[in-house]
Amino acid sequence: MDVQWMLSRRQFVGTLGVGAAGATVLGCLPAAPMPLPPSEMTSDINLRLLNRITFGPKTEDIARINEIGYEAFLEEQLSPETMDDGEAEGRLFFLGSLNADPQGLAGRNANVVAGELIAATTIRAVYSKRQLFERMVEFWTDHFSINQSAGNELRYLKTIDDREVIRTHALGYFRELLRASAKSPAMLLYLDNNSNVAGAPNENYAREAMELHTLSVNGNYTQQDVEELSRALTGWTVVEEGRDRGRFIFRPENHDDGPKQILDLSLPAGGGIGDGELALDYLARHPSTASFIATKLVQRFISENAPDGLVSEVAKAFSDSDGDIRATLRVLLSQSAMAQAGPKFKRPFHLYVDALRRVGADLRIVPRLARSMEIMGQVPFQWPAPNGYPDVATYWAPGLLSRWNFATNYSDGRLPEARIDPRQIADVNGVADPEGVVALWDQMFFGSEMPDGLRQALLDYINEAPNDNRRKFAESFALAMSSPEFQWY
Amino acid sequence: MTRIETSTRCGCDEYVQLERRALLRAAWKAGAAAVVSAPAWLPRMAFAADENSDRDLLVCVFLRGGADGLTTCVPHGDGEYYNARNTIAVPRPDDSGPNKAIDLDGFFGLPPALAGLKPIYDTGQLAVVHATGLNHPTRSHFEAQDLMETGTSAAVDTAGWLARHLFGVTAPEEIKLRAMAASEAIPRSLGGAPSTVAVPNIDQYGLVGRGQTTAERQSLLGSLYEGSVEPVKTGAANVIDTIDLIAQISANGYTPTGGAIYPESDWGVGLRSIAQIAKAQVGLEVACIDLGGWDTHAFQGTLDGHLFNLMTEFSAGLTAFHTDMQDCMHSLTILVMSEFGRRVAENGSLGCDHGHGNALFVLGGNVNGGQVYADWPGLHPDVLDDQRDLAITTDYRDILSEILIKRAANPNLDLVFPGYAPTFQGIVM
Repeated sequence: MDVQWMLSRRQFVGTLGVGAAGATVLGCLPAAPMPLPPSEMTSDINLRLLNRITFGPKTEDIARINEIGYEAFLEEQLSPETMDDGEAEGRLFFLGSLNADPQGLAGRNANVVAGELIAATTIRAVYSKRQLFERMVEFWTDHFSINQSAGNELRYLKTIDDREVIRTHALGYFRELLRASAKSPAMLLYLDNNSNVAGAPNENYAREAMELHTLSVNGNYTQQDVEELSRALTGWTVVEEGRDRGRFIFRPENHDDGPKQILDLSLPAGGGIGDGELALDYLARHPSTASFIATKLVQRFISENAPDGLVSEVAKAFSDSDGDIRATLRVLLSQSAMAQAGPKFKRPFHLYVDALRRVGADLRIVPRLARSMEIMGQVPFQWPAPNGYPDVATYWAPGLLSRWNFATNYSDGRLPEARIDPRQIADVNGVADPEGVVALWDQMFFGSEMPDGLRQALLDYINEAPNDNRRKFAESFALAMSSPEFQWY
Repeated sequence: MTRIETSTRCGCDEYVQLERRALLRAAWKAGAAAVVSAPAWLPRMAFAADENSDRDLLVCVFLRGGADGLTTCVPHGDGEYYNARNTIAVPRPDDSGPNKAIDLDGFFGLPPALAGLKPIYDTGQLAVVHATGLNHPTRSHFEAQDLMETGTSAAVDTAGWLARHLFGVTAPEEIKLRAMAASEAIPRSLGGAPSTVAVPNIDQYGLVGRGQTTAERQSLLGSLYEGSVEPVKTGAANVIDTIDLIAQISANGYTPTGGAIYPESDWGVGLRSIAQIAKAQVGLEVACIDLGGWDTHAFQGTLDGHLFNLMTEFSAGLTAFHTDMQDCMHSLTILVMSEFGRRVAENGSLGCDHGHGNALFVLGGNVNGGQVYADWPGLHPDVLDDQRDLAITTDYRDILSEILIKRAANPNLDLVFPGYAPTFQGIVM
């Protein structure tokens, strides 16, 4: 099937400012932008942890962590299977495609299946109590990025990948996650390994498996290594017809059974499916992989400019535990690591979910639920390249206008999936004066740490037209959400 | 069953549509109150002669994913091409079938999907450079794009090449929009550039909400972000300036010149947005736009499939832009590039894996066009780069340098491509 990167809203743009300090070789140029900590960044370590491992702390999250403490809260989040998640699960009830097998999905409208996965992902991010788990699902979804728009089969096979690869192994062992991903029909189709056969290899998957999934582009592998890994993975494909349609299959007749040499791994002739499995295990355990995964985790959860020392610690935890993701996260999210946290710019999906969580909005499953996310540039599972949505402020900052307009549409009750009215929210909370309203937004959006300048600006905005107070309440809600401080976490 | 559909393209939705008249009113009001800086200077700029007439508007198109240069400009005179591409080649111009190359110079040709570019080539406004690209062994999309867009062949982390170009030439301080990206984000090539914004669609560039308070809200947002940190501080200031600027530019609607019809895709909307802003003569010097989908590892469909459709889309947009900008061709140069070409030999999936040398297009009123520039290395397996790929005989920086010095009046090439001594090919006048 045709699984090239299709035309998409976002045209596979190279990300900006990936590097750390952004030194330039030219003295007369400004250094590449490096976000400095907003002075408002909380010094409350509990709130910091919540900011990082949730899609926006709710009042009840703050109460919980303050009750049981940092370590216990983190441990609870690391054992999501022990947490009751009735509200999120209840809201998924009507999404019939979520638990269907490939055969069942193939009979459905592919666009509906794809849309249901986006809806489910949004619902879980908003309502699940297992917030760290959902944040890790998001992390691995980016790491093993598959564009569900890149082919008709991918529109439903990504649902299988999400369930059986990403969600199954999100807190498991990296080696098993990698192997499951390599055998995932969605990945096999997306990166063309389904047509990788002896004598006429297709190296698309093999290259990205080394560059994006394991060693990283700096992993010192060669074109020869890419080709050898391709050979090791020949015959790994997807059943196209019959009862097992859409399932992984190894076809020995299409496998190149000669010996292979991948970096310092020698595979003797006749290894069959073991060639690919051994090669993937080798890559999963390679020191370059530990370092790459650690860097990405630190950049995602701690700071865009990953501190070297912390990256080493996290990489060591990864290697020492043979890629145990939970063990790695214990180091990554320790109090000493969290003390090094720098500001992170919310990506559109995060901002969207955050806006709903803080308010306790009722997310309804409607057609084109992802419309606002699309305008802001991030619909889950639709980044057009295999490297996942960027996670650097310089990439997203030019999109401020669409964020401001999202806030306004939301507060104006114009989102069909989440109709709110800030005036009602004020009423329900028993506040009717400008001070009370702004204090309410402070509590909701900033955990009562709203900067004074913003508070005063919002008060001035409301007070300027006393007769127009009610409408200005709503507008001040949007302005609070549009403020620079709310863009970071 | 609940029905949900994924949204895959941007259309108009009532709730994001700007109330244009309200927006304009607000913008003027803001200007009168001197709350924002733009409108005070705008009328003068908008109707003045182009103050940067010694510099062309440079439009940089990036084909993301590695466009197959052996299809976009077919070396039909090289027999090895047909040996390497058994099933996905573009047939010779003298082929008896309906689908075949359109000859350019007896050796190279355009594929049928790019037939729309032939008339432009014939008028001398389109040149093709072949066997060009980034002299670096990487076959990674992301690394190759980063290197090309920062104008180097070694890994460094600096501002983009277009950003450094803009720092190397001066512009009047009142110019608020020196560069734009017709996309939601700013590409690496413009990373760190002054007075640069992302405008994916000029028709939707403004604040939504109650018209009565638009100016007030805009002003408040401006002041909130003044105290912010980079990169959002500058980003917000540029957005706010551009909202006002675009309100003025769009005031009287827009009718493309020459009956040009743009595709209704992001590509078409983006090109139209560039044209509209360029014609307003507000000092725009650089515009970037991307077209993705070129990573054709499987079933590439040179003559009737994905690649055919993609090239058709590319050609439709580019020819519409060329028609629309016909009165501005004397000061317009368009550059079309991609991170690398594709493997000479097709793979087992009716596609091609990542390659090296590629074709690059230059279009404009001052292009020495109507010819293909190539020191052709040949496609025989013995002469391929890494035994696999089209070798590079022209460093991509030679082309970029020549355009910058001759068409963008930038004498400071060493600032843009540090340590690189370019060789000019005479591609532009």
